[in-house]
Amino acid sequence: MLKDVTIGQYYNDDSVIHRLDPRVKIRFTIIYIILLLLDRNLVLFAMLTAFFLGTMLLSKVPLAHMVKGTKSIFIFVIICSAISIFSTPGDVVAEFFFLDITKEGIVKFVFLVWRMVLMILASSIIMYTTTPTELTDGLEKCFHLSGSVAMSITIALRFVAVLFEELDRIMKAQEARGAQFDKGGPLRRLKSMSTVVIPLFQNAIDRAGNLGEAMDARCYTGGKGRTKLKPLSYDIRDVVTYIIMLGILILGIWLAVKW
Amino acid sequence: MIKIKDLTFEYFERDEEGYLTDMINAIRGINFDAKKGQFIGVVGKNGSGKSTFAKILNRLLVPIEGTVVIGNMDAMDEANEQDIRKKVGMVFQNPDDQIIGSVVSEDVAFGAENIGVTQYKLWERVFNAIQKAGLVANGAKVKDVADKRINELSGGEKQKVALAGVLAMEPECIVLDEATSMLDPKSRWDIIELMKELKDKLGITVIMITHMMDELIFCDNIYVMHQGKMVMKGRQEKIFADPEKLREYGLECPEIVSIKNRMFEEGLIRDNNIITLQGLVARLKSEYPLAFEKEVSLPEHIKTHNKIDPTNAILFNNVSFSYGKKKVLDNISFSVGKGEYVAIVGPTGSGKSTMLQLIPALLKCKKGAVYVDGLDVNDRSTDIRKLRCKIGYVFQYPEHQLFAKNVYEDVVFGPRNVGISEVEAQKRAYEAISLVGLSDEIYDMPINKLSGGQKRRVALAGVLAMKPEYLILDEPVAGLDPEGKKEMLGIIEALHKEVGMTIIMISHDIESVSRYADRIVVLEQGQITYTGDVASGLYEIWQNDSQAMYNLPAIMQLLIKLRMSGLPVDCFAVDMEQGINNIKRALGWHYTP
Repeated sequence: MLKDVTIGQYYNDDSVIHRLDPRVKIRFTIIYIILLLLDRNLVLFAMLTAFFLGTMLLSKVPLAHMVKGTKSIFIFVIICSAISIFSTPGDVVAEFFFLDITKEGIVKFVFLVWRMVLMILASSIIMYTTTPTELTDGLEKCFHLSGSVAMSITIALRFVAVLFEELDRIMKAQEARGAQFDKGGPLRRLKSMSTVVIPLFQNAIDRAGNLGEAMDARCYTGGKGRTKLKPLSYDIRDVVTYIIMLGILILGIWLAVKW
Repeated sequence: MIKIKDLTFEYFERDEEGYLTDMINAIRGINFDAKKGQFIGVVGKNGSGKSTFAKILNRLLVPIEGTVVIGNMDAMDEANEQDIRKKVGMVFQNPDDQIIGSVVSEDVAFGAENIGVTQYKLWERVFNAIQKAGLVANGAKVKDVADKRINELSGGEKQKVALAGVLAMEPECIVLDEATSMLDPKSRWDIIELMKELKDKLGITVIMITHMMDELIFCDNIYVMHQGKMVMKGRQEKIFADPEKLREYGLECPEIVSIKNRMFEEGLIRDNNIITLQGLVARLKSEYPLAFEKEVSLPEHIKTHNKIDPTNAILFNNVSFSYGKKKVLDNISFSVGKGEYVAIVGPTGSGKSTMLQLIPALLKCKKGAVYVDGLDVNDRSTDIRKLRCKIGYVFQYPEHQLFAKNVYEDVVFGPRNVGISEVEAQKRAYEAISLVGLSDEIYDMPINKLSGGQKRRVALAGVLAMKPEYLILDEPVAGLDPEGKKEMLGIIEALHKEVGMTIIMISHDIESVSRYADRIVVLEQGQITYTGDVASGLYEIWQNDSQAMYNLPAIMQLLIKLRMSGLPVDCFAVDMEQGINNIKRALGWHYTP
């Protein structure tokens, strides 16, 4: 189960989206999220959904792969948003025990889920189509991060999968010794989680030490005088994408104001 | 290339207040020499100081005393640090702990980027290095390999990526710091042969740090380390000539040398200086020319039925398993009887661990069924806790799962989970600790004060404290030095013979499989291709992949090679004595003791 989590992992393929400059992708994702937050507007949402689907098709990342990797987050989103069904005042359409289900509540719920799903999927597209190194190069430029901060992000992203694998193994090992993570009160669960978290951290610390040594051995000194295998440079397709982005921004704002 | 004189290095240990509590002499008065283009081995058991020594070569550690000159540069002078690291590349033990990039090309470029190679040259160097490190299989494109994700690679491939990353910096010397110890035999030999090639073709000096003596066959010179000192030095013949002394230092002669020694004692051969398999075959041929025929065919493929006894204790019935779309196990049926010692062998990624994790229901099979003592493990009515008490599962590198503040607390964790009284739990913990051969002084020891071998034994005790009837072990000896390995295998053997536990073991270590297991199960690409006696099973694997000679114990390699050179010898033997008897029988009247 834990091995299924693919969020944040690069999906190896070659597409227009893969080849875009990471700076463009980062800025585009930010604008996209801002537009999603702008207004609850059916036309705006329809446009953004269509736009997402288009990007996804271009990126060649299968929807099934994306959904599998983000499934667990969706369930969480749906449960959280479900509260709004009952908590929004308005026309009562049905009753559920002592709770009133309102029309406005349902509308709000639909938009909430819709918005969150698009946000997660859109931001996962950038993760699937950009290698961690490119992504951090982009973040470094977009947000003026220092070289060592960017390097830490690269490494953190690289180790997501390794740590998940390790977590899975440690959990199984403790389960084999009779530990039960899904039973008992919160205190008991917390206690049994400690048998997993402690070795996980211990191993991560050991790993960090080893990795630091390996980086030292390969002459890493914090980024000064470092050259880059793939330096960022804008291409014509990046310029075109920036123009599309501007168009969508204007259209989105117009839709939000007009409708 | 490297000249070291009177090198001393010390670690200081401080307590929580920062007071000096202990000074460990990691290295004392070492002299060491490596000429350009040499292949040098540094061997020693765990804790002998060999890794500390390796780090000094790359100036990751700076010695306290002595002179260290690396390619005309004084390693004591900080100004030379980067230049030394450029000249001396290092490959470390754990492939996962040294790769920085998420994609092959990014990681290979990392070092070269750091030393400021220009972008145009970078790609050239990256492609070159990927090729030199043997990552490009026949027919594949370098570019495709460069684009591969690290997480999709096997351990052996990752280690080659790490090597490529070093090669891209164009070093003059490469230090392998136990770089093969976590790999399966095929990947291990891949890397060793690759190093030989790099040395021959590019004139790179190779320094290999290891505890496995059989890896030293290409070495021009060998240094043996013990307790921080270089205790032996010389060519292979000289080092291997004294097995007793090596044993004192916690090392073992290569298997082939032990065989030769035994044959020499028996008067089968009259030359005591042979150290290679080929040498031994040639010697026998020259001593008994008449016993060899022109050609002797190899025995046929042995097709045995996978006999399944449905009354057996552990039973797999047409089990399939997949992770997502990837099919890992494909319609597997087999059984293990009570009191058996079964070894599961097969290449990395063939589904061995997955298969065994189905037994205590750590994974659930979607097709087919697994039974333990007649109970379907996936059935809702089966008490999972009881099942897991019955089946002990020791994961790979179990020491990575220790969590408690001291030994006792960790071992008692299992029994406490199963709802028995504290007194009983305590009793079980004590018993388990003595079963793994640790003394009672160790109860209160903090985990981090233990040695690697001790930690693993504590982890094993944690499983034994559950009082299992069946013990499943996933690579129990991986990464242990010869001494640790022997101890571990001895403990398992005692559990089998004296306590009567059923043992199911996954292992890449041919020696532990061939010496202890009653039966093997060969798993290839999710299917069982053989079950039965060990010698025939290993022969079967070799028949299917003639490259995989290293999958056989040394004695069997010798027997097969002899047969291939014309000696009609029975090649089914995994035991040294039995094998030598086979040779004697084949020599017939030619040999008179």
